[in-house]
Amino acid sequence: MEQFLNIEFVYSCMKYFVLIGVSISTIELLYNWKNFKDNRLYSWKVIATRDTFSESNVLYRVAHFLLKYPNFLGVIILRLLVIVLLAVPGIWMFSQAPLLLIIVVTSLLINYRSPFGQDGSDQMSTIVLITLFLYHINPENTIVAQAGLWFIALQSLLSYFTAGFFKAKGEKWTTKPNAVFLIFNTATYGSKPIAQYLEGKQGAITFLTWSTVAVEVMFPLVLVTGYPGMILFLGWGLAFHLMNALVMGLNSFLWAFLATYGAIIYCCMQLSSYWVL
Amino acid sequence: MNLSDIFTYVIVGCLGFWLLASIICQFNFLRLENFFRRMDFFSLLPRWSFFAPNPGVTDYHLLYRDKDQEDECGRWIEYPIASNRTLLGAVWNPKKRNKKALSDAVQTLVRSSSMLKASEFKTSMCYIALVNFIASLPRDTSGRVTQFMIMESYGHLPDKGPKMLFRSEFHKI
Repeated sequence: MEQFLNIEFVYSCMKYFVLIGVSISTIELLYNWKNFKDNRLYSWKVIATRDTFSESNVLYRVAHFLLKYPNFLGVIILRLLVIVLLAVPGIWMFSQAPLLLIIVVTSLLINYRSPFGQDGSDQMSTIVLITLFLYHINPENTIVAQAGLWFIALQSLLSYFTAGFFKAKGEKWTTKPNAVFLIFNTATYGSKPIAQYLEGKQGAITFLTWSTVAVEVMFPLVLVTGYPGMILFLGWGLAFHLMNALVMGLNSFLWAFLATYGAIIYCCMQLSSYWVL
Repeated sequence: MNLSDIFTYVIVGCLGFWLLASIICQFNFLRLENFFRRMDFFSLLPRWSFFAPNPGVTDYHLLYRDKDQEDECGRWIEYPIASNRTLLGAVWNPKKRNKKALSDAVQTLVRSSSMLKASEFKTSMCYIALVNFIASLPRDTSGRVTQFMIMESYGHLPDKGPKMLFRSEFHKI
């Protein structure tokens, strides 16, 4: 655990976890390449109709050039190549900042081009990638490095707390606690065998529903629990994301949120060390 | 103050502002959420209220039918938005994005159908995107125009039957 007080180690863990998630989602985008054609689901000609930018705006014209089909496929392929350069040790011997900048820019382009279809894992990945880039501009700058880790940790804790806070306002999560069953019962985010297994088991459904709300709301307490208390929260988080990946098919959330856990451990250990002092 | 100090202050300030804006956007403090979101072209301000407060407990179904030269309507055909869950899907799930995109578009369309005027509605991005998508699907027949419909059902173990939420006009393919 002492390793997590080493900023370089924490950023390295963060980089590998986020790159696993980003590489999977980038290959998934490429797999769906036909849907970026102008007569398909992600038609840029249709999506661009929402824009209010002036066409004389140089930045917009550059973005428009990069985002239209088939140029956008080139952006995705470039992103994948850069991910390989970053992830495989020994290929790229120079500063990682330029490569991370390319991934950040491609993330922003993908986000801009996707008014629908993006999810929380894309947002968390973008947050982590931008912070990684800022750190790698000058890894010797410990103030920026620490601020980056606190920023990631607090964004992650904010995500769990917000999800729990709003669930606590919902009837299906609190007074009629059957939200977990109802979600698992859908074809969109659920699974028929799981729904069949849970049907009629109100005790188990209530436990799963309430425990999700309770742990999410309490998750920020991980910062003050120290070691080994933090393992309880982070272990729950890991199990939660694994289950979401298995049952709900939310594969990219696992890697995006796991990438933030190193920063949470760092902040937790840093706070604990102040208290010991 | 040297260049490195300025860099440090700017970066730390930007991260602090980003975090603050993210918090404001979750809870709409001071009713500033719309102000920030309007400027958020790159989805940098997250929405962390997953499945809350009211989780999605229904499935949407996208159906379409064509009309031929003789004005005869074909049968409704469903384009599956949801897919069966597999173990591999925990690692590799390329259909997830398309499913989410269709689901987002359908949800937005259903929501806005009661809020917008017909003229605004039919020129909304989601409506055009869905017409565009439906028109692109491979067809057996020589359909001239096409129409889509959105239905809602109540999961694998439903306690009530499906219902229709929306039916579009016919559009040229």
